[in-house]
Amino acid sequence: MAHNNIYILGVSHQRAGFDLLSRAAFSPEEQLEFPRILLARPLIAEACIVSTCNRNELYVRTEGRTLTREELKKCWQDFNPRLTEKDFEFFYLWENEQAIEHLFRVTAGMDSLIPGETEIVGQVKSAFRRAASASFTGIYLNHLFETALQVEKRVRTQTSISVGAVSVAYAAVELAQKIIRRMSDKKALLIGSGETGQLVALHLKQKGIGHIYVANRTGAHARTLAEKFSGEALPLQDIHKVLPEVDLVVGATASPDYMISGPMMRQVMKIRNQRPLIMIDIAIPRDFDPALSRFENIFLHDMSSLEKIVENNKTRRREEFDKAGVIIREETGKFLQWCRGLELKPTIISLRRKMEDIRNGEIEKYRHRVDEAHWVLVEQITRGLLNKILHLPLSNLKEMEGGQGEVHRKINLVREIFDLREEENV
Amino acid sequence: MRNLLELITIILPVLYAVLIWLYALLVVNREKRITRISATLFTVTLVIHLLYTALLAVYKHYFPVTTPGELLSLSALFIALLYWLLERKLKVITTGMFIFIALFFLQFLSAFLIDLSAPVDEVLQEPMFLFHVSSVVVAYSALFICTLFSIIYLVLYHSLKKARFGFIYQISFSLEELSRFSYLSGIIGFILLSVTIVTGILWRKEAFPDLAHFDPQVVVSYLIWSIYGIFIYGKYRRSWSAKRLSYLSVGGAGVIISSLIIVNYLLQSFHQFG
Repeated sequence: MAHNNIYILGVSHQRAGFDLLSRAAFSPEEQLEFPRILLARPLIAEACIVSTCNRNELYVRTEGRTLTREELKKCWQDFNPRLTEKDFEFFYLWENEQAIEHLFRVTAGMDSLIPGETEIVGQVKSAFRRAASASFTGIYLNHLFETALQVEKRVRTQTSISVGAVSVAYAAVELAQKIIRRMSDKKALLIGSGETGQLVALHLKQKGIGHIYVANRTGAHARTLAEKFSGEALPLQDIHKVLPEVDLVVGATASPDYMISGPMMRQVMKIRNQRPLIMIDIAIPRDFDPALSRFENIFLHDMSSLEKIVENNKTRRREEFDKAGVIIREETGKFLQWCRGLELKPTIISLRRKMEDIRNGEIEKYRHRVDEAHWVLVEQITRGLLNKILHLPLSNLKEMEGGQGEVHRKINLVREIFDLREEENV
Repeated sequence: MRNLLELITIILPVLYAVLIWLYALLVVNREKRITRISATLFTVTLVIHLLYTALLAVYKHYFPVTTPGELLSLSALFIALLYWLLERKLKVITTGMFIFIALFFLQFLSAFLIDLSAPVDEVLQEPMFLFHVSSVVVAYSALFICTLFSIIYLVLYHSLKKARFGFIYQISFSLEELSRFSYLSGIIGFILLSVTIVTGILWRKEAFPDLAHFDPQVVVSYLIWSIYGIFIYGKYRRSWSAKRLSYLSVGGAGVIISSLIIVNYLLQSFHQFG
């Protein structure tokens, strides 16, 4: 009887710094090479590597025996000599139930640097696909990863773990959407070429903003950026011309002076006729005069506002962890039951076959004493009896409680009691 | 039918209470399942409320707008109906909790006040009167929604100005939507209030020819009509800001509430029916 164990040896941002994470990382080629080496060893039946910028994890399933941390560590160290003995102090090892729960948590974004982020789903999916297409995974790890992806969907639909912006750029868009409704009939102005500013413009484009103006000190750069966002380039000195018509202005220059001042906006606001204007200042030093917030219809926000939104959203996402944890524990239980069913299957088949052989042997002794009509009845009665007798022990076997080791011990006990040999397995 | 009506009288406030709970849950957990259940229960409750009003009309042989209990229930029905339409239009459900708190209290009070066997003066069963009262109920319901959205607008406006991203920031839809639907409700309320005043003047001449022109409630209605008239004038002719209009709408609501208290409890008015 083969005992299956699932292990995860890994290191993540939770315990390790960037240096260790980058040394422990696997290149795409290494993600194929290392499992191949592992699978050449007789005890390892399946393997998969998940390697992202925040984590490096090795998933293995063994058949017939258990693995120690030392054994797994040695495998990894042999493959990657850049890792020292001390490095492995930051590694974690999860077995069976804990390993399953860990993968579910990772895929749901609960172990990510940004709680509830969705990028990890794609990373886990591609890691699994890579391993599966190279036949490094089998029935257990295939089912484990497929379940993890389903659990992730369930967690995201049944909790608010992914709700709210968690990046400054997206927070700016979220903020704008609290002021304006439809993006398609709105216009935005991006001043400067700061990275976050560009990200805001990109998110606005994705949200379907009607038009984007890009103003920059150098005309060529403005044109390049405008092309990127299918917008319109503008010389920096002409921004006052478009201010009456835009709904959102993003300041992302490196200018030491204000790009937009109070007196400039006084004229603009008269023309705008009470239409609200959202001004997002993500420049350091500031691009917009802070006094602009005194205008009734100007909503001026800077980095500190956006960071506040991000922090609030992160906290709210973390508050959803308890709810997500309940789903994950439930799904872990289901997965363990599936594993148990898979491991029990040969024992159940053997037990049924053995009992059926006994039944057949016994009734065969009376074959000549019973006529054909009654023989059918005898068959029915004895089969019914057998089913009734087997029902309770088989049900109990399927619903066995306890850890993986305990379950294996009980299965072995059943096999021993009924003298079920390995070759009887189907 | 009486038994069924009595049963629904009890069930309706309970359903609105359940909706408060469900919509409060939606604020903290936007789970699709809860969203679906809430939307379905809201529709079911609305249908039951409509059925209740129709049954009440059949049972009493007139449109049920003559007693305070009936008026409260009808107001709740119109607010629910208007909000149901807005919810489908806006696709934002998180503000529903506030509406259902109001609906629960209206229906709860109605359940207490409604008397299925109370006789009604014949004059109050005239079609013109029923039309007059129905229009005022819809008008005040629309003005209630206008005020509610104006209050949320002002809270969100100040939150955004002061970079406070708390509860209202999380649950509310955009300022633009809030102001848009506040105007829309204000216009509906103003038009129907105009209809109410006109029908009131016409019907009064027929039903109460000897009564004085300056009934306190009529004067208050003119005042409310003027406030919302200024609201619409300010929006379309003077381009007042949404913030100023919201303050005006909230002020108008203050006048409605204080007028109802003063007129109904302190002054003698022929607007005491039944």
